[in-house]
Amino acid sequence: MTPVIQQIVTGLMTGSLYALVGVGVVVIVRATEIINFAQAAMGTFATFLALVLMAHLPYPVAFMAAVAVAVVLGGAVEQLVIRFLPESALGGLSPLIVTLSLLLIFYGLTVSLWGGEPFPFPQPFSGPPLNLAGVRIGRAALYMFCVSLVLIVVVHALFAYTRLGLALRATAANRVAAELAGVPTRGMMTLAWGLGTACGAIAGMLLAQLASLSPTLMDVAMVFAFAAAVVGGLDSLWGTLVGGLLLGVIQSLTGAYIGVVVQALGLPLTIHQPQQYRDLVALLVLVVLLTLRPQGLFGRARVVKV
Amino acid sequence: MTGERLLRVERIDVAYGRLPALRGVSFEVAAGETVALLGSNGAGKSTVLKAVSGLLTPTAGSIQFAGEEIAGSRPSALVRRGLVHAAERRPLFGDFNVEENLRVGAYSLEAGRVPQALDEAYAYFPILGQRRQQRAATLSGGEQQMLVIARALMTKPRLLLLDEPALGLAPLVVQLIYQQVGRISREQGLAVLLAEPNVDLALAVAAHGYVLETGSVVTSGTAEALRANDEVRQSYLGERAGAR
Repeated sequence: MTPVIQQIVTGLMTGSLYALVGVGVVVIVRATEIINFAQAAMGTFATFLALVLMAHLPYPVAFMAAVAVAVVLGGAVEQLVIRFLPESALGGLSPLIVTLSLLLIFYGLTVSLWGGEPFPFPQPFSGPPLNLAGVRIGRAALYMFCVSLVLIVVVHALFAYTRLGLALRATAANRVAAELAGVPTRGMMTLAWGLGTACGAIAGMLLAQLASLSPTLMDVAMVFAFAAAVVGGLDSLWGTLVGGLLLGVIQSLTGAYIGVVVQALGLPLTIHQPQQYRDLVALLVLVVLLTLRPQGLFGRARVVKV
Repeated sequence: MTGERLLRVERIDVAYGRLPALRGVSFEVAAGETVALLGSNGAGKSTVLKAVSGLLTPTAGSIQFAGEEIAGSRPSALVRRGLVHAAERRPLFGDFNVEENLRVGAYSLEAGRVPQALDEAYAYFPILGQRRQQRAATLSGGEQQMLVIARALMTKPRLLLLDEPALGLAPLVVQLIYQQVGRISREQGLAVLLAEPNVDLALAVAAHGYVLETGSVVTSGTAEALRANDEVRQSYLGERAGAR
C-alpha cells in the first residue's frame, strides 16, 4: 500500500500550495467582494523582488522583507486602482476586467524586468528526501507544506479571534454599516489587499524553491487555487484548505493510477502519458462537485444583491 | 438641559445625483440636548442625518461639530470624534451574533474599555444580554433596533443621530426604546438628533424641533411651542389630532 500513501502525501504537499494561493484570494474576497485574478501575477512579481533581496540578505530576513514588500504592493494596488471602482460597479464586470488587466500588467512587468528564463531560487532546506516509514518526502516540499499550513491557521485565527479580523469581516458583510459603526473601511480594504498579496508572495517563494522561478511560476497553481477557493464557496478558509488538499491528492492519484483504472474498466483508451490527465480529472471532479453544490462544499448559499 | 453648541448646520444643500434633496437647511443641537427633525416621509429627515454623519456630502453650506467643520468627512472618522449614526432600516451584520455586532461598534474604542462598554449596553438593553450568541438576523424588529442603538452607544458618542427608531414596531416596544434613549441621554449627557415623523412621540422626548417640508425647514421652535402650533398639529398630527 505504500505507493498509494506516497501518492497521497505528494498530493497533499502540492495541494497545500493551492490552498495558500486560494487563501490569498479568499482574504481579498472576504473584505472587498472582489476576486483578484492578478493574485498569482502579483505573487510572482513579489517573488522576483524576493530573489533580488536574497542576493544581498540572509534567507529569513529577505523572506520577511519580501512579505513586507508584498503587503505594500497589494495595499498600493488597492489605493491606486481598486479604490476608484465605483461602489455601483462592484459585483459587475468592472472588477473582473480591472483585475485581469492587473494580471497582464504584472506579468508584463515581470517579463520586461527579468526576462522569460527560469532562475534558481534559494532553498533553505536542501538535502536528500526524508524517509518516513517508507514514504519519501522532499525537504523543499515538506517546507512548503508546513509553512502553508501554519499560514492558513494564522490567517484563520486573525479573522476568527481578533478585533481586526472582526472589522475586516464587518467590512465585507456590510460596508456602510461597518463605516457607521466606526470601522475605517477604506483602511480595511487596503489591508486586505496587502494581506492577500502577501499570501501570494509567500506561495511564490515556496513554489520557486521547489521548482525554479520564472514569470509563469504560478500559472497552473492559480487555476487550482481558484478551484480550491470555489470549493470553499470563495469565502471559507477551511473550505479552501480542504479544497486545495483534495485537488492535490486527486491530481497525484490520477497521475499514478489512471492507466490501471482505465485498463481495469476495459475502456477503449490507451494512456500513454498519465501525467497529462492529472489536471483534467481534478477539474472534472470540481465541475461535478459544483453542479451538486453550487455554493461550494463549505460556503453557505448566498443571497445575491441586485 | 442646554449647554454649549455641539452641532451647527448652516444652509446646507444636498442632492442625490442631480436631484436636489435639501435646500438651505439650518439647525443647531446643544450638548446633551435632544432635537427632533419632524416632517412626513420624503421631507428630507434621513437626508439631513446622512449629511451630518458623512454618508452624503453637502453641495453647499457648512456643518460644524464641536466647533470644527466636518462636511465631507468619512463616517468612521466622525465616529472617532463622537458623532454616531443609528441609520434607517437598521443596518446590522445579520450573520454576526449580538455580541459581535456590539464589538464591531467598539472598534474605535481602546481594547481596555470594551468590556465595560459591553456591560453598559447590556444594562440598558437586558434582552440583548440574553441573546448574546444569537445571530442578529434572527432577532425581532424591536431587538434589532435596540441592537443598532446599543452598537452606536459602544462608540461612546457625544451626539447620536437616530433615524425613525419606531418604524414598524409595536407601541409597547416603541415606548421602551424611547424610554431607554431618554434615560441614556440624561445619564450620559448624550445629545440626540432624532428623525421621527410621529410628532407626539418626538416632542415627548425632544427639547427642540425643526419641521421639514420638501427639503427645507418650514417651522422650528421649542417642543412646547410646536405642540401648541395649530399648523404643525394639522399638518403632521393629521388624523391623529382629528380623532381626539
